[in-house]
Amino acid sequence: MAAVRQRWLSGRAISLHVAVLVFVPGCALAAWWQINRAQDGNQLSYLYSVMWPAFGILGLFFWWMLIHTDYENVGLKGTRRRTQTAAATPGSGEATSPSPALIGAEGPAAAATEEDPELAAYNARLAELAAQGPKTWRHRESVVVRRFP
Amino acid sequence: MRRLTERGLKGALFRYQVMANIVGVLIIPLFFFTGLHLWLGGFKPELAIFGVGHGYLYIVYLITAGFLALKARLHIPWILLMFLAGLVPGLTFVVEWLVVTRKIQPLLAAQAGEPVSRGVQ
Repeated sequence: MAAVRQRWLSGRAISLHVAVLVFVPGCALAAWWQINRAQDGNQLSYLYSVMWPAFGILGLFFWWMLIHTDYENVGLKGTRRRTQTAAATPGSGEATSPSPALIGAEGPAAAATEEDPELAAYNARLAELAAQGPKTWRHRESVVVRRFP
Repeated sequence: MRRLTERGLKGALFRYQVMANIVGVLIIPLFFFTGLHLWLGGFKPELAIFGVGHGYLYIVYLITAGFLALKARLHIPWILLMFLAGLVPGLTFVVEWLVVTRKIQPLLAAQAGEPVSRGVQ
């Protein structure tokens, strides 16, 4: 119950409620005004009568998202706090959630070397990809097709 | 939910930067052609294309800026600054530079220094 009150009735949440209560009816009024102008024959107002409801819906969406995001553990402060706690207790960060690079480099690949060279090469390739980090537009994976005779 | 609000900060930053530059360029003819003609007379309906184009691209700008702000956990004054910058000529460039240098780059540096989150951005 305290968490609910904190989420919906904190100072930040109240200011968000006030903002959305001013903004969304304002958008509705502007949309109504533009719809009336469009019916009176102003052709440009057809375009604006779509735009204003879009602004209102966006306002509602970001109000909901901002109420429901966790500002404690993510972001600059949260990341720094987690880094500090991980540094204060060495080994705890790796024990709870090991990074994919570590799994790929040491776990399955090392175990498979004596079994099958093809599987080992595949696992080494996976470890290499995991060490590159996530695939983004600027860091695309360079796929090399290797054929094993 | 975490996909929307935590992961993919670099992609959100790139999309925000693209939209900030598009909207920042488009608002200049909106003020100096359409706005001046509205103020001094001689308005032609063709000039409204800048207003409508800016209006619709501003919606896309709001979406990209809002998601960047959510993923970087920016506080409400910064979000308001980013949103209102799309309405003033020249301000998007300044605000984009401020947001990137003051907020996003320190966050990316902190995330890169953190061993756990390196693989799951």
